Amino acid sequence: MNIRLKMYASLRKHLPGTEIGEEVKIEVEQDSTIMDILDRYTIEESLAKIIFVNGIHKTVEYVLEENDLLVIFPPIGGG
Amino acid sequence: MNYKIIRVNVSDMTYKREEIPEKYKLLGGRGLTSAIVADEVDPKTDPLGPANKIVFALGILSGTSAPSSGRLSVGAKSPLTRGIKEANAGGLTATRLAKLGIKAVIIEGEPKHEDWYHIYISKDKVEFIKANEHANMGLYKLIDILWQKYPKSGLVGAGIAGQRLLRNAGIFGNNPENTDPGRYAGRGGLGAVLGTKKIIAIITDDTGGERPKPVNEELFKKGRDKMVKALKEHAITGGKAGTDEGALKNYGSNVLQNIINEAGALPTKNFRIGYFEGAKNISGEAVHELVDETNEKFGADAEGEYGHACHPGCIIRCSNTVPDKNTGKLIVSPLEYETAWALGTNCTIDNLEQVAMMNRICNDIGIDTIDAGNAIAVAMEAGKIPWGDGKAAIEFMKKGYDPDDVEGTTFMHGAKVAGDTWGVDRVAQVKGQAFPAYDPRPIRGIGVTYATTTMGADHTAGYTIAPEILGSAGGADPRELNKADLSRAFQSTTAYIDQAGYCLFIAFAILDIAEGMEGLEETVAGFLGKEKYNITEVGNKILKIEREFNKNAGFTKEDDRLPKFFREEKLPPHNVTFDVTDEELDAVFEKM
Ligand code: SF4
Repeated sequence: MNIRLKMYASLRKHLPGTEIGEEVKIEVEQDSTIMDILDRYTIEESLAKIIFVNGIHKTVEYVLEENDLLVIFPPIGGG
Repeated sequence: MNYKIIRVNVSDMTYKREEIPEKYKLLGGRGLTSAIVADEVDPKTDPLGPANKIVFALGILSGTSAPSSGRLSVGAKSPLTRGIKEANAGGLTATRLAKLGIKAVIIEGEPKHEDWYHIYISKDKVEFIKANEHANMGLYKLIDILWQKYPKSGLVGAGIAGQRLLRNAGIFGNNPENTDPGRYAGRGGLGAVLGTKKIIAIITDDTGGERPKPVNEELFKKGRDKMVKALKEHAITGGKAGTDEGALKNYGSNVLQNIINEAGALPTKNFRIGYFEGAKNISGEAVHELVDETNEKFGADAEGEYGHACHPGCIIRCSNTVPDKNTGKLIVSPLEYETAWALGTNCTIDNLEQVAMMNRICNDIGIDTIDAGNAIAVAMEAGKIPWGDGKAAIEFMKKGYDPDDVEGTTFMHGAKVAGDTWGVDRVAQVKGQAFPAYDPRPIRGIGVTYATTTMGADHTAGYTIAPEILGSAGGADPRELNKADLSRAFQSTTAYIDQAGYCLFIAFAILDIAEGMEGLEETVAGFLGKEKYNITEVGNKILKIEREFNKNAGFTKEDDRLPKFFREEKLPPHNVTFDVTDEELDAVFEKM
């Protein structure tokens, strides 16, 4: 199945050649979790501090569904 | 250290150097400004009248070797909210005053003259310098002129808006390089209070001064080392500019633009939608890229920067300089998240250069960027500027330079007055102060803070975004409705941090690293020579003083409410309303 993926700030390097905030379509196996995606891009769990699926916070155990929008941020703060 | 208070009376243009009364000895920053305002200003007085006073106070630790502690608090009765107000900023003045042994400057009285003055403070004297030629002058030019005469001085003061007594006038401050007046204690119209005293700038020269000494050096140093360690270790406050590590050093506070957008909570088009397609173009990542590009292209001539410190001694360094892409020269420093949101996203303007230029105009005329952005959105609602038209917005803002231009003057009073004048009901404000960059419908805790803080809608007063969105302190569900306890805890800790003189951004590290939290208390206790200095107790005490002032100023529970449309109108994309009950809002202070 396909999901949509975005990464920001220092994690952008894992999606080389993309613009800021550009969505990438990737094919994943059925029942993949967010952890599987992190493994695929060799992103340490501690660096995927904030994870949204369709705009809602999720943890790495979440099982992805067709066409989900997965957005990953490293630890960030500001305001 | 035996600090003094300088009390300036503009009625007869005199000053006194006063001992600090016993009851203020353990106070600093916001704790001190709020205590003095509460003790000396009648809550019912006209904020632009002769009985209001403006107080500048250093944090307890300002000027010491505690990291990121050089903040200056400014307090008065606010012309914008009509309640008590404290706003704080970096810049040079706090650390300069600290070296002169001056804990606070109080300006009071009613000028009996028509002239404008600067106040010059140095080791041996306080002088009044006639400055009529500097009235109504843009602040980039003013700080440049002042540094030619008083090199390296700390500068704070009122710009064009403050001199014209307009309600969104901030207190500007020069940055360490004196390239920008953008270190603003911006919120609440404090610049207008200084304007009523006919003072333009306070110039602080610390030549011959010395660094303040802690009473208990050992405890202070122990705490400082813990704080430094926590700030360096934490992924948000630590790292190094130009590497993969360190969110604030690389992307600044504006790293939030994309995350709040992805959370569906980025107020777009005057709080109509929670998502803005163009947000990425004005985000911290975009500034980072622009800086890298222009630095490569223009080499030694390039002025773009990230990882910049807003005051000497900040090791977090979230500040930046946005360069012109065609010349590499400074447009504005810094461009913060709240500003990029207010002037950009909220007005659906996604051109980084235009947003930076709008920020520059705010800095030059002396107004707060958050209320300014909301006021421009109101002007767009009223059909005075097309939505998303950055060029037209810039032209509109420039009307502010002309004292005879009615629209420009209205705009500089802030969003609430603009809405009232132009017949626009849709103004996101509490107690007359416009909302910052988080929609409270999908993020409920920050709505509780907006509603209940003594300051009017203010995110810094109780920054629940840290747990609700950024996962700090174990995280909190943004949709959860019971947020009184969370907001109160953040409001209280914030008041303490503000009082210490620390930058609020230390919170990201100390909420996650226990040793850092110990460092906070130990640096303060060590400096003051106390054994302990309880964070919640001290924080709550400040809040109670402020709350009492507001009550006596005439505020009731009804003032602790968000505008109705937040309850009634669903915010896409998550289609949620602000559903926190009034009882829950009231519980913030009732249960304190
Ligand atoms: S973290 Fe940023 S705002 Fe805070 S003191 Fe440092 S440079 Fe200034």
